[in-house]
Amino acid sequence: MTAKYFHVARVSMRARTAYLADFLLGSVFYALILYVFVQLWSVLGRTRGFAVEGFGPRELVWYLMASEAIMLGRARFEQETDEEVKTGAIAYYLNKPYRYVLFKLASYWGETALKMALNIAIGATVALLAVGPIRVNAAHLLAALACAAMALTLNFLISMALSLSAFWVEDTAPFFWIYGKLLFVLGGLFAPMEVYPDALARVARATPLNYVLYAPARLFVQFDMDFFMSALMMQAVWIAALSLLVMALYSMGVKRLNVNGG
Amino acid sequence: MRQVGDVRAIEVSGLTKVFEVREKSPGLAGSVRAIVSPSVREVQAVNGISFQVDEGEMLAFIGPNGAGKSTTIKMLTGILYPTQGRATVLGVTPWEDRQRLAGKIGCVFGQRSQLWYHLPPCDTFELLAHVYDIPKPVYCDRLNMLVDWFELGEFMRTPVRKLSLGQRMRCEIAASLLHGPRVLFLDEPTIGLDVVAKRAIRELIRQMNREEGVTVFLTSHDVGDMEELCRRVMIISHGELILDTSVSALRRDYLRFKIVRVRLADAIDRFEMRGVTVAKHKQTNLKLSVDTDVASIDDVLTELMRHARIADITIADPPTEQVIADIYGRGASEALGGR
Repeated sequence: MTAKYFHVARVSMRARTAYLADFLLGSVFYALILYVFVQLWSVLGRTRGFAVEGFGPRELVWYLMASEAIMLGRARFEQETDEEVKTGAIAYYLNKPYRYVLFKLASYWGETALKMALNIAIGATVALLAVGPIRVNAAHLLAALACAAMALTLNFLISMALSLSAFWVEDTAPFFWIYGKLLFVLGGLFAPMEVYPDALARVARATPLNYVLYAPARLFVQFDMDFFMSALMMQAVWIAALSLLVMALYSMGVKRLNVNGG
Repeated sequence: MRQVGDVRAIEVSGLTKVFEVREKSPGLAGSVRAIVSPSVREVQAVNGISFQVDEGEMLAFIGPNGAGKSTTIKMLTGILYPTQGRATVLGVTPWEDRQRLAGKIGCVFGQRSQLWYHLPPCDTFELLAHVYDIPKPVYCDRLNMLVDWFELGEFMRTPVRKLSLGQRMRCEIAASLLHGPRVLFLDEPTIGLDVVAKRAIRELIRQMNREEGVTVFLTSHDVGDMEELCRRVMIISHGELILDTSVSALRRDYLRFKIVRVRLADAIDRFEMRGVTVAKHKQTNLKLSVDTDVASIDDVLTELMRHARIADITIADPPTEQVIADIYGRGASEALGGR
């Protein structure tokens, strides 16, 4: 049963590398962002002796490396799904022996795994050259990667729920614009929650967005077993809740599916 | 191999589909009204159609745009829920158990591709083998056979985006046959193809039906597909089945007009007769369109011979396109009355 989805992921990965040059060029943007922030955090560190809750300029650069790797590593399937819903093309998946949402998840993971691997390699190189290494052991790294995998699955479910809203609304692009901006702020893209004012950090922690970027990035830079366990548990809760939402949206959407006949 | 007529592949009874179409008045006020109190119009896409298809049969399901062809095919493949009625395909109700049906049928939608656009066809075939749980040795044998039949060898490793439309359609049909379906739904399989590619696709469909006894349910705007592939034709118009007959009977029974080409021994100035339209007249050569409901061929020949001696004559049926256009034109009620 799961073998077919594994092969969907494999083919998706292959499709992504069909244009290897374009794929690699996409990562240049990621390296550029890191470079800009390396300069910013270095200046901040020199002028004010900046350090919050153990996050100095070096940790902040490595934190950004991890959060941006996730932010830019997630496959962007939402426009395609939005189109499939609006044009009725989603219907053509129904008479195949697989589940649409799982097919999309497998395809998303095929592309995401590849982009993440590349982003981590590039990001680690830039951060290493710019600010030097941070102390990470293999077990902590594995734990952070597990948390990142949960985070990316969470992102998939949020994006899928927003895409499926195309069954009811004309255009889902504004939702994704808002989601992107909320990830910047409540997700903790540029800085960890420790740097945030308390009130904002409290709001951010109450949302699933915090578990998409902040949790895995913080674990990578500052591993803490209690935080790891609580983050993993909250991710599991959000994944379960959003899975139910996606399943409900999908089954309601398919019922009202109105494919135009020819 | 089972003979046509032994087993029913498709059984449909009173199948109906009503779509709800939202309507919006123009302008900003219309947009606001559409949110506050949406106006919905019902469109009857398919209206209580009933028919059976035997296993191994090749059937053409034709009709003008918006007649309900694709909606019917989508209900039969489990894509759409009907509003009313029953249908079974190979004993399975498509919309209730579409996953089970998926392994027994193949679908080709001429305007939708199942091939991965940036990858060579061999990657899609390999993925489909996993999706349909085809054991590796079976898949290899099946693939070799299909590559051989459809002559795919030379472009199996070329990205789909670089294939011609004809090559792509050969791959689409081969992909839909990989899991050995017993019923193949073809929705406009020759759309956009040139004459040579159309001929090749039709020959492949014929061969597949002959060799494997696959039932073919074909919708097409191209009358050539119907004439060259199918013995039976069903015509749907405004969601109703207005004709279910053999292709030969369609031509025989619904042919009101005959085309008479005649070469006379001597030139004549003009030819006029009730029920006869002169399509072309050049000295001794005439091309006449005869409405046989109004004037018999005998009468036309007698009238011609009153003007001059006949040197040569041919009497032909008009093209089938014209026959079908005529049936569409008569409308559902009249055609049903004429059956």
